[in-house]
Amino acid sequence: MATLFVDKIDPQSGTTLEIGSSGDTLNLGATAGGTLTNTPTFFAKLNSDQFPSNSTLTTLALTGENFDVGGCYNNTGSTVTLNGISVPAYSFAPNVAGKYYISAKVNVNATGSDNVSRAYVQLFKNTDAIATGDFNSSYQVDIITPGTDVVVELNGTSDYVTAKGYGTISSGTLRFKGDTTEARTYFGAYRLIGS
Amino acid sequence: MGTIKTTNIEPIADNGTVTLGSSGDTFTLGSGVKQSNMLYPAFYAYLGSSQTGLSDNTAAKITIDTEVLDTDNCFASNKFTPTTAGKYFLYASVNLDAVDATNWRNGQVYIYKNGSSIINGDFNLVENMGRRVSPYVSVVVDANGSSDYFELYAEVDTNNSGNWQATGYTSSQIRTYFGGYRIGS
Repeated sequence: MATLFVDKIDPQSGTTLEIGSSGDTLNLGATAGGTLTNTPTFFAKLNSDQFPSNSTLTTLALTGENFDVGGCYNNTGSTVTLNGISVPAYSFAPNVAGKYYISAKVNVNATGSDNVSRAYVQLFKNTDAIATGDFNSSYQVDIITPGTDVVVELNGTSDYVTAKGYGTISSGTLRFKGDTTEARTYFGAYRLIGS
Repeated sequence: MGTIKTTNIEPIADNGTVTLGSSGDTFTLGSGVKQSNMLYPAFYAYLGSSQTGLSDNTAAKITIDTEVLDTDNCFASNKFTPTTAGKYFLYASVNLDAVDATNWRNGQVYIYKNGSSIINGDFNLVENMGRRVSPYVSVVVDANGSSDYFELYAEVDTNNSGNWQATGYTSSQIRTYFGGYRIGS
């Protein structure tokens, strides 16, 4: 491998500079270095049903990681240290500063039928709610799947985001539905290039 | 500051790897510089005309027919088959119309990977029915860049067991759409 040390690359003439040809691979600033990547990124889902208390905002216990590039998502129920950052349970704390696209959805249902009247999903940055997807019905229904998304700035040192769900039912046992192959309740994020 | 002026940078070997920088370095595109293919392959398409006559309680492939963007010609025949391996952000919404008022019991929107659902947006109103609901789904998923493909499906359980429809472009608004782009390896 040849290495060239330089601070700037400009087109020799004109206004186009091309790097590589079809089939080549271009790596941009490995791990935390480059701004021209969409990492860190993760996507996690409920692999099985979660049973929160009725009418209680509850952290989504998303243990099923489809992937976690950068190792910034804590898929356990305890606070852990990832990349030197203390990360609360089921939270994402990227170690690269930037703007992140975050999304979450919760599938709210109850044992029995036709007894859900309200459900919402919220994204929190640290301890503050920053986005909400809400469905509030005058009638009892069976399944509601509110979703929400947001672009938020995270400092790469201590900021974390968490997804929480809420459901109100008239009878039976409230559940956030999960599945091992099909994402029904999920939480994901990626860093916006260049930010 | 050193500056290289050239028009093309290639790895030493064909199909090799060029690495720019190390951990902690920053690469900046000069002010006003355009990056021509970041996040490619990418596509975005929507349903132009409503897809009608869909069978009750049966998952139907949504025949997205109007392309807004398809950078690498990876979207064809209602499926997205990216030709570059990597992680892709995919998103979709279908306006599920039960045709008649108080006829919409249950409906779901799915993204399929290789013929199987990987994500589900579900609203089940059962006895307290409406007419239209537009579930939205999004997912980040791996694609192998050769054979993996993605399709949009949806279904509605109507109260009268009649047909339902996916609403197309109406009143200058996109109602049903499917998009995606590569976010990295």
